[in-house]
Amino acid sequence: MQDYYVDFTFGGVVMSFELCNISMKFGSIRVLNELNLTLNKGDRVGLTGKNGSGKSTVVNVATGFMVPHAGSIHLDDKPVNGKSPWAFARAGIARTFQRPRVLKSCTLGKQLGQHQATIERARDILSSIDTAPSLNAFADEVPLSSLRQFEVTRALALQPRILFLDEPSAGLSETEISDLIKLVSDNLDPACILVVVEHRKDFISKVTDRVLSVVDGVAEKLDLREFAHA
Amino acid sequence: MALISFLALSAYLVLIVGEVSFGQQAFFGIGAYSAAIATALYDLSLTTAVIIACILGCVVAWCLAKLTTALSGFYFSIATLAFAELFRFSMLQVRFSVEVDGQKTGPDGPEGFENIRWMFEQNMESSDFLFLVACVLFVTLTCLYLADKTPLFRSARVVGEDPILAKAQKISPDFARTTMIALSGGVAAIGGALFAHFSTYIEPGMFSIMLGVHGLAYAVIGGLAVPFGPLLGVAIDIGLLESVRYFSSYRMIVFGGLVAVILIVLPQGILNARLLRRLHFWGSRHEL
Repeated sequence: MQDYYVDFTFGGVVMSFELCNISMKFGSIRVLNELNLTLNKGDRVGLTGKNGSGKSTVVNVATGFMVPHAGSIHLDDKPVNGKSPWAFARAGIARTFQRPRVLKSCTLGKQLGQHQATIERARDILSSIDTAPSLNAFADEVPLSSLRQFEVTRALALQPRILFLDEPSAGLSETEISDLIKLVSDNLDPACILVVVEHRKDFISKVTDRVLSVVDGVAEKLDLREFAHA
Repeated sequence: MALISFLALSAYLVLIVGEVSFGQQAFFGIGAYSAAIATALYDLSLTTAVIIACILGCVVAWCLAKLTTALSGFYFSIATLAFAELFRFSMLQVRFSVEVDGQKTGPDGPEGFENIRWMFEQNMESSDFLFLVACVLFVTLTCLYLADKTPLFRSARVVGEDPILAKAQKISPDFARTTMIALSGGVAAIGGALFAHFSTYIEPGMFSIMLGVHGLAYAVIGGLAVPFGPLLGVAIDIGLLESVRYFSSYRMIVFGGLVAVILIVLPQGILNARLLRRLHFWGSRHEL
């Protein structure tokens, strides 16, 4: 039976989140090869790597959108393998997507969230941004930078314990990236774990405190200072 | 017109969760038969009969939704159509008419269900009954307007347009889908219950696929942005095309063409979110 009722309910700050020996393949191509990743309370991690190296696959596996062929996922030492993505989300794991996912049939104001508290939080966050999109606008009437801000705001309003941002700065200018960095920095709970999948070194070095590179399906640690100046 | 509005509203509830049902007429029929049995055979009040019909419609629709959990899109539509035909053919076989006050009443297969006499027993005129139907429709519409602002309905709209986004926003698509389909069954059954007592006679042939297709088309034409949308669809077809003498002979041709044109020009229906925003701006400008 589908797990309507999540048996791992979130009750406070996530202390640890682990991906253990995760392997994932698409057909004959092995994208992740026994990848290990341990995240602890308050971590700010950048995930980088070449196109097709498997960065987004890590996010998809960690948020329940893909089920790994091998390996296990632990949230505060409890296994959460095979749970639905919405169960991961209810456990406090939020994410954004490479291409902003927004509804076309209604205004942005109508898609801030489902519960009144979430909607209020999203409104508060947006009201603090000078370049925030109009809530009366439809998705096709605002620029990409506003959609990115909107999507990140919507994820922040869920009060996540772990937040995955999948290439949030793609297609943005320097100024727009600065606005986005400010949005994340100002509104992210210090206890929240942040994982940013990015190519842009300036974004990663300003938002995260350690960088991992996905190479041949495994996560290798990089020196942040060397990475920023490479 | 008011009676078919319930069917249009039930199709609307399924459409906003992203599915197309060709089987809403079955729930309309379930409501009609169950309410008629309640009043004609067991002498229950109309209110009780409508409540029973609504609950039964919800339960059967919930079961159908659970059975079709793995299906979506075209496959779901076919499954609902198969279910509706199964219901219709089953009713052709169901015979347990009994004598009540010297008159045969109860489902009698293809002969239909005669003598649903609640309206006559209450000395009620047709116009009074239609007023009652309009009141029930108004209450249903108000409930749907209020429900539209609830997390369930907001979630259903996200599921209907982007199930992946829904999952990222803590929404269980299966739960939203099952609940909305169950609600749609209840709304259709209320309409069916009132229909049976208005027409005083029902037979399985009344609940054919064309009834369901009309309900669906009304919702598509009217638009899904607000619950009033499907009623606009009903008003255009029955209020305009059927009642204007010039159109009446060509009603189905004009109606079919209208559905095609609206699907091309206004895929979100007439009362879509962009039009509502324009009306809202226009209204607020005039207030100033």
